[in-house]
Amino acid sequence: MKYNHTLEIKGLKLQRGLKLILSNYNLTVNAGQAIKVSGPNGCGKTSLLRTIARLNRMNEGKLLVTSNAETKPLSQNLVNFIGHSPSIASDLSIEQYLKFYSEITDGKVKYHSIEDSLSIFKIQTPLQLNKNLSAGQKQRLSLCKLLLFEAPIWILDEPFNSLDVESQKILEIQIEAHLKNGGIVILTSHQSFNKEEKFKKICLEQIS
Amino acid sequence: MKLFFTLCSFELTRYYASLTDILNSVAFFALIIIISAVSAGPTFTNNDYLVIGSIWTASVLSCVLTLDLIFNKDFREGTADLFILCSVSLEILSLAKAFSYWLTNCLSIITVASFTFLLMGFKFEFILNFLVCISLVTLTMSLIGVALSALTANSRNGTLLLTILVFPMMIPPVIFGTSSSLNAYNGLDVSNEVLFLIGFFMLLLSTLPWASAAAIKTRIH
Repeated sequence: MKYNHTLEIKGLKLQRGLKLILSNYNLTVNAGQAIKVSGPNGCGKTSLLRTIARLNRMNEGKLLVTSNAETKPLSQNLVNFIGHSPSIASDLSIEQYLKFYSEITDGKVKYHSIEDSLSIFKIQTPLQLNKNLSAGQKQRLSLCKLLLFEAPIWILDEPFNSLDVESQKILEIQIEAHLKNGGIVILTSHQSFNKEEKFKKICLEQIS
Repeated sequence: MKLFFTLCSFELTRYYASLTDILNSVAFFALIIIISAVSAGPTFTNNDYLVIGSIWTASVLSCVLTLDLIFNKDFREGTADLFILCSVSLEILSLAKAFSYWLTNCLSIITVASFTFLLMGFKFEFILNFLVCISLVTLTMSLIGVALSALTANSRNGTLLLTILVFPMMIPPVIFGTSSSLNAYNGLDVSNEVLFLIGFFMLLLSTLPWASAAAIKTRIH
């Protein structure tokens, strides 16, 4: 196995405005484990995922990663996060955007080349401007970023949104390969997908 | 340094794509000069003080007009998240944004303003002094604009808030900038004003990138 990281969420309290999403929440995710966070719209799934990706501040708690018997606070370079709206600069072309992403990414090890990740997700027009892409193409481009750099923890917020059947299968294969490598996957999805039974389910509404 | 140039190149590509916004500022500058000339009548071309004042006003207002563009797209398209996820130094990002904004929006206004002075028959030494002062004032304004734009971008009434916040901070450099131009026109010493502008710019250069970085973090979290 490539990765042997364990993610620990300890005493997490998460509040958005007046709404308490989680209180004193503990979770351990071992290497090769997958989690599906579910719950109705607005229950705080995205907030939770953004918090694990260190994009949102948590009110209380700790995010720890243990690797080779060494426990450290979770750092950004261990996480690949894909949000539910693709963070894509519309004025750049596909190739320009991925090159820019590669150049600004700090502290991560290269995984696939831009050409390879584009071909995996079957994007054949690297010179096309991002603003002219369809929602599905944007999502595929966003997912290409998963493959550019190595990170043991993948956090995917609605990754199957707007994807066609073929792209959905490609993503499922990539997730499976990542789990086989000892990676961790935490995702939310309102859609059903293959091998969903392998995912440990967490319902936010029941916890809160 | 490589990151700074990568971010500058990214910003310049974006500004090139929204060239109409820059042309809009230039058109706004031209409108202020034309309206000043029309409302003052024939005295406008005879009164050099009026011309200097109008061109300074037009230059500063035109540069302020597009300040909200600095972070708007980042928060709308989600690239602000990308900067955090990629562990980009937000201080370098702020400097790159300020420099790119100055290089595109402000420099185009400065060029047009200098040509306007040239057409009005002002001396070369005066125009040179104007170029130095307006460059320092607009560089200062770009630094202030990045911090305030990070705080107000994509929020309700953000543009109005940005304009209200930026003007009090712009008054000292504008006072010294126009005073320097008037001194240069009258053949007086301008070193005090220029030194103040350099000092003010250096002070903000050494403090505002950190404030901007904190503003970006606050908005994202």
